[in-house]
Amino acid sequence: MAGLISVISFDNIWKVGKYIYYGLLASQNRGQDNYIATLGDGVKLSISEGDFNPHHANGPFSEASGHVGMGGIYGLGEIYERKHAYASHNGHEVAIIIDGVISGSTYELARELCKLVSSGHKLDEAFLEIVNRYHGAYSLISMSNSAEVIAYRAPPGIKPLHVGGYGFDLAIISSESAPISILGGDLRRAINPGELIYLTQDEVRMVRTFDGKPTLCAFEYIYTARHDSILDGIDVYYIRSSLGAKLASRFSYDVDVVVGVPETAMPYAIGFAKALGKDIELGFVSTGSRIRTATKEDPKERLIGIQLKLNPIKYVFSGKRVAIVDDSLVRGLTMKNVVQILRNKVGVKEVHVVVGSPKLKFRCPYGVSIPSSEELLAANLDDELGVKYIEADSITWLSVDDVVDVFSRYGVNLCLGCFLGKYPVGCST
Amino acid sequence: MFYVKVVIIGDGGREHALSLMISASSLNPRVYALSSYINPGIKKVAEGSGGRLVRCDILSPVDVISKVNEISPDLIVVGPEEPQFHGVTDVLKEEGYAVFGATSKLAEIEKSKVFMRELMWKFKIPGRLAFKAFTSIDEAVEYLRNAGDVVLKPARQAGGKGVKVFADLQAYLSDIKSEVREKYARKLVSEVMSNYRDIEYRLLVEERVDGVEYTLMTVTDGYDVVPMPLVQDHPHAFDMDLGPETGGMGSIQGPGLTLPFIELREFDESVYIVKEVLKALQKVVNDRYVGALSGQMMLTPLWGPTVIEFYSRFGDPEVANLIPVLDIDFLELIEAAVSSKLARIKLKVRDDIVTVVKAVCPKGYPNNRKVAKGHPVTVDEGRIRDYGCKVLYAGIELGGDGGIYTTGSRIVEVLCSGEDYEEVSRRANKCAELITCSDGWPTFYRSDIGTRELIAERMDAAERVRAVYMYRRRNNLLTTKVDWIPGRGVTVYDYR
Repeated sequence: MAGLISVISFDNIWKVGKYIYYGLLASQNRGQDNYIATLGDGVKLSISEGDFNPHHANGPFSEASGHVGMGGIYGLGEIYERKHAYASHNGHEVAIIIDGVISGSTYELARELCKLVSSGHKLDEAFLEIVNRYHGAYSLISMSNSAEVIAYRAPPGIKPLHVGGYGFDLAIISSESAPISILGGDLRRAINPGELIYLTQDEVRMVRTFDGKPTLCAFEYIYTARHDSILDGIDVYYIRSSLGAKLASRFSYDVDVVVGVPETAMPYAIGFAKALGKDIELGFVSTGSRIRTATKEDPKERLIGIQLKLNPIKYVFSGKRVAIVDDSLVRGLTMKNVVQILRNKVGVKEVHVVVGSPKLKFRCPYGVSIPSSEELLAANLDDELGVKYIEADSITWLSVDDVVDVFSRYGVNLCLGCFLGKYPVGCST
Repeated sequence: MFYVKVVIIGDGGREHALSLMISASSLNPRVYALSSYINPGIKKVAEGSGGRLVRCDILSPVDVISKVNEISPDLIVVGPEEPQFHGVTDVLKEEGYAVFGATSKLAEIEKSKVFMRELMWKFKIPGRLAFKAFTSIDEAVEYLRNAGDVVLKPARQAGGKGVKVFADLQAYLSDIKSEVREKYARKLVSEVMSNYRDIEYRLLVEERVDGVEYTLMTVTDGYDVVPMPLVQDHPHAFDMDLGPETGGMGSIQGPGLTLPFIELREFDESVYIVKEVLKALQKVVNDRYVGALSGQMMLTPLWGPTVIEFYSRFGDPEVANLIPVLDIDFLELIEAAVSSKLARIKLKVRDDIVTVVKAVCPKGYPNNRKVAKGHPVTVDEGRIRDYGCKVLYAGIELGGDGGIYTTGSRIVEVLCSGEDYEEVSRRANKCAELITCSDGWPTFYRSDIGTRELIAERMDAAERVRAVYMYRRRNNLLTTKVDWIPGRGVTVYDYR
């Protein structure tokens, strides 16, 4: 997973470095460890990369000059060197960043683009020449040193990509819609699958290389995206609270209180409690900044993350029958830990685990940090064993049909690969 | 044989549209055009009617009057604002000609944005915005440091150029915006305003409002006001409302008097505002307005219908939308205004069709016009006619070799009409593709104008705005606004 952002100003008096910084800051849900930022002034590209410091708004690139820029933010789980590339040829430079997976090497792609650009092609023409050799589940932003930017969402559109604008001055490209509003812009629309948008100060043009409707990654809506994003015109919050309501119809126990695991699961818990007619309470308080535990590779780091993020509020749990809602169960480690704390330290009466996704059984070949099948709880333990392993009183899952049903009114396709093991695009990491 | 002679002053798309409407009159007028360059569209209409196009420095009253005297017309229409500002209307009137077009005193309503704002405040006309005007750049820059959420405008009408909107709601980004505001203010004064010494103010800073824009064009004889159907222009250069401000990339109209996102009540309130401004203007400058007066309006949370700018003329490209929908002899309308008989005119507007206008521009427009100029243009008029559409020539010039060349501005406007926006928009796109530069220079237009998606977006935005201004009206919040700059005192704006 990665968060991509680009800002193009139509007037050279702008410096967009700080916009890129805040754009990356707002995209940390898609990766929070490494960043790469590229700024352009129409003559050359300057690139900065390293560990992303969320407390350093005046960091290395945010004060630099450049009226066009782009940035990518990646998790440690990404082999992130393969998610960006730079090439130069005869005084021409091209840089690319991608979210997802692409067939072939990103470096080779950058090199080919650069060669075509230096032979007189516009960046979009260059990309269209070679795009049919680079398929996969990816979104891409590329920039040349003559301040051209292209944004491309590979068909069938598994990775999101959106366009926004600010007044007469800025165009903004972003994986999700929320960073566009964080940057003071207005969401214009989602980039369509197979659509290539070319942006310079003098020209904005679009080409579609694919005609079908998008096939969206269901996990974007379940876990990856921010609650305040609208992806492909569909409110993420709405999907999460609706899935929560679906869960209520599958839930057959009586409880005193509903609690959500912060913070992705909160809309599920709210939808679930509303449909169940039960009270929802705030169950946990986090320490330190937000950590996306599921995306950490190292088990010890994950554990530290969980424990810091989930200090229970004793009053809420003590002596109660509790339904605890999470958005997904990957290895079950978070939930096992939570249940232990609730039982041993807080004195809960019953703990019913409610999961806002179907059973995660397969790894994602498209770059979402889901571990391989042997590490996935749902792929290895049946319901009975799962309940015993977590030491819960019950576990309730959504079915794949529930998810499909919630999306049905939008007329889109879904990638359900991590639940079904069937993938819409052939591509290997 | 009896005929009337009409002179149209101007050379752009607007004048091409006006010449088409006027020449279609049952009075069989001979149309003459005074133009600073040879616009092939206007030339064709003029010659087809038995008149001709005369090259002329249209900003020079002396040159205009000598050319007009040679023609000796019955009626003169002054199309653009600049000849009005330069006193062309004044001189023609002094010579005794019947003129449709604002005099220089009345045209102040467009020329000086400060004059317009002051007038609205003085007469407490609804739909006004808080503003500060500056004669010195240093004062302006100092003010801008703390100004926050504002719009910067050149204090004088400068061919529709130079407006910049600075939404400044994110404290973490306000340093950059403050820097950009200052740089931009300096650039405006040194690059745009330096061309104009006929006005003291340099810069206007207005409160920023969000909302849905629309244009209300009217025709007046100084006593009565005949409102034209509302038209919405699209100022952003590129699709999806991206890119710099232009003179207008295209416009939509209909069905009927209003637009899908403006209620009839809002239309009436807008007409009321234009009438009040007209009354106040005539009182202050002590002159009678004969001509077109247009309000660039926005539906805002602050007021509902709100004035963004005034034009002492028809909008361009907006006037083109009127061609298929005005069920009236346009020359009779103009003639009625000139002879103070507008009260007798009953305007009929077709409500069974909608119209879409799209401008086709050379790459480089609007910010890099030098590279956009001088490219040979091919227009496939035959095929455009087959699509049932019209071409209006705008920034296009007949060269010495008989070829037509870009002037750096919008090349042409295509005008299409039909029952349904989506279909009309698609047809307009096909027509726009038929205008190319034969040297391979790229052209562009906005494919999204008139699409269902864009209109739906406007409807959503208007609904949001409507909810806020209705709330403010219900709760009497329209009365005051307090502006306080720490250390520099309090200004209370009385909106009553």
